Amino acid sequence: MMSTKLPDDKTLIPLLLTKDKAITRQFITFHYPQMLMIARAIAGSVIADEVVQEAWVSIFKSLPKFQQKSALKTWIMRIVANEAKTRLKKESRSISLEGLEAVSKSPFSFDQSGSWSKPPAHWHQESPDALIHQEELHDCLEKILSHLPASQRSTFILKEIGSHTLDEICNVLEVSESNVRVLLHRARTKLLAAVDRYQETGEC
Amino acid sequence: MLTCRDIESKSSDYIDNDLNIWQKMKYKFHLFMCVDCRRFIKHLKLTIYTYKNSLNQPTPKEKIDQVMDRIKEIN
Repeated sequence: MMSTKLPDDKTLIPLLLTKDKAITRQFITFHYPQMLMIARAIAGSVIADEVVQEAWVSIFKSLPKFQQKSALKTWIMRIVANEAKTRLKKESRSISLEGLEAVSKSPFSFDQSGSWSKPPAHWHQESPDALIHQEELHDCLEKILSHLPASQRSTFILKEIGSHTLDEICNVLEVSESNVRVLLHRARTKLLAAVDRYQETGEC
Repeated sequence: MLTCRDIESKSSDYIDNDLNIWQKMKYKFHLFMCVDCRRFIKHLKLTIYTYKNSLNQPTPKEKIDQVMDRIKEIN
């Protein structure tokens, strides 16, 4: 679960600028896990922590100039993504795009008329509140995500965790918008197929 | 008329609100008629919601301390 709620940006930013220690720590603790996921998605696990640490330095250096044209959260997620991308370039690496080749396969199948061969599963648990508290289900989603091709995983995390637009994802991953759409869609439907399986059999 | 296959393949565009008005109308018409596709869309949204809202890895205190140390020197 997310840790304690932060005040809204208007209240929060002045407190951060005055270096209020308690709120600064709370702010960092709150955003660190999401930033780490984004750093991992772009630059890989080995250097993700370093990327996040560097991003925090950039964030606090630039904060006095932050013009609040976007939400503070959106702004810091952009910074960590850029930091990760810069780091990747420095090391002359790029995100593997192996996922693009295997994108044509959907986890669902259809008959000749285009109807479901096997209709979507019925879930015994459809309450959003109950779903987010099922630790096993979350572990299952993490496992499926970790087995996805890197490009699909990165696209999904940038969109859903980093709240990046498709345009921004194109820039970070250096792929076309149509490819980003396919990668995102494939990642989402594979996760859905995993929840279907989990709900039907109790196994991941 | 869209098929269930079309609904699946365009579902991300639909939930991201990236279909044009005409495509959206056709899409909604199919959903109105098809209980299976309605369930599919509902479950797709729930899957994303579940993942987004169940992040559960607290950051070790040392990592936060490291950041606090590094930003101390910034004026």
